[in-house]
Amino acid sequence: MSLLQFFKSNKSECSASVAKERLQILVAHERLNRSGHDFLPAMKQDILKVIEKYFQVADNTISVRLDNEGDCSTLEVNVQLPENS
Amino acid sequence: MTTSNYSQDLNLARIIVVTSGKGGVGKTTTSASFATGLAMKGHRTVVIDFDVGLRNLDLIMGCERRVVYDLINVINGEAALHQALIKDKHTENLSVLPASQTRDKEALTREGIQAVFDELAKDFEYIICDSPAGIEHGALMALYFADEAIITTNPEVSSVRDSDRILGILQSKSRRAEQNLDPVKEHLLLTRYNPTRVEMGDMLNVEDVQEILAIPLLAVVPESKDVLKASNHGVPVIHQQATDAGQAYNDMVARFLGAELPHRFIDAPKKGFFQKVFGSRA
Ligand SMILES: Nc1ncnc2c1ncn2[C@@H]1O[C@H](COP(=O)(O)OP(=O)(O)OP(=O)(O)O)[C@@H](O)[C@H]1O
Ligand SMILES: [Mg+2]
Repeated sequence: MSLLQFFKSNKSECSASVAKERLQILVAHERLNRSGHDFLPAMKQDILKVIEKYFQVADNTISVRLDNEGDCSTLEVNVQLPENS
Repeated sequence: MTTSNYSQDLNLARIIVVTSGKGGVGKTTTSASFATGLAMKGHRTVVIDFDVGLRNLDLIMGCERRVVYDLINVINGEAALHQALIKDKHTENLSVLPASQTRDKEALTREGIQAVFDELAKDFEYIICDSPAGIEHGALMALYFADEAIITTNPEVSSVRDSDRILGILQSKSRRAEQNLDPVKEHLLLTRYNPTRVEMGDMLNVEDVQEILAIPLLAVVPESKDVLKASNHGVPVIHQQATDAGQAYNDMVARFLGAELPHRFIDAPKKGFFQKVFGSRA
């Protein structure tokens, strides 16, 4: 580390590392969104198969949603169970 | 030819797209020098301007006054391919296929491009595609047939982000992705790199960018005044072998062809202690 960097790093985090951190978060999210379009239908079918072992459910009673907000991603799975279960 | 399952096609030309998402990062500069470098090494190379409506490659290659027909003319059957191809004056084995200045991008069709590539593949080993900026039709057409991609990136947040988006498109919307062939081979070209600013801590460094994009580094091209000078003259900067940028592009070509060379132009020029502390901000 040069003397200059030492002085600078004592004052504040250097802007390049801020950039890197922001990019890492952003890129991870955008990748998740991209792949989301690919794997969500398959995952929905997988989840459905597990649920079908225990309940009688129809294909259209399950919804799967992937959301990104800030630096937090949520997977929302909604299953409507039949009345008599 | 390096990839195994390419035998799908009769032609064995390697199609390489120079792409970025973000504009103004150095795609055309890179296409010109990369194509020139491959030709200087004896490979029959053609470089195609896909920037329909905003052609610039002809200027950077110094052949703007010899443009008669263009890519769209060939696609539309208004000119034969050999009428549109411009043989480079400085370098043997090198031809330029200019873009149309007047048509709109929609004139680029997959079938049309495929036909042009098939014909080019009879005469050339490398087909270099200079992509327009953005992720719209023109950029998608430029990358669709690619076997390899030069992801041209500046060490700057928006450029890195756009490069990642382009990688996503290569992995889902290219011919190789659609037909489940081996994926497009990706290369990172970090350009307009300023080692002094990196050392100051206000520019992303090579490792940062590589870590984020997670693709192999082909070369680092430093920010250099010689690039502008070269474009003023219409001579690709790779011809200027006394310059850093020229040497960086030379290294890029050599590495692309398989040479193992240490990366250069990553460290700032060494300065004395006082310059380090009080020196000017580059
Ligand atoms: N290594 C470099 N050092 C300094 N200037 C550079 C360097 N590379 C490119 N430039 C300059 O950056 C500008 C944009 O370069 P270029 O036209 O190659 O980018 P591009 O990605 O093709 O742009 P567009 O997206 O508009 O097609 C030009 O003025 C060029 O001279
Ligand atoms: Mg360009």
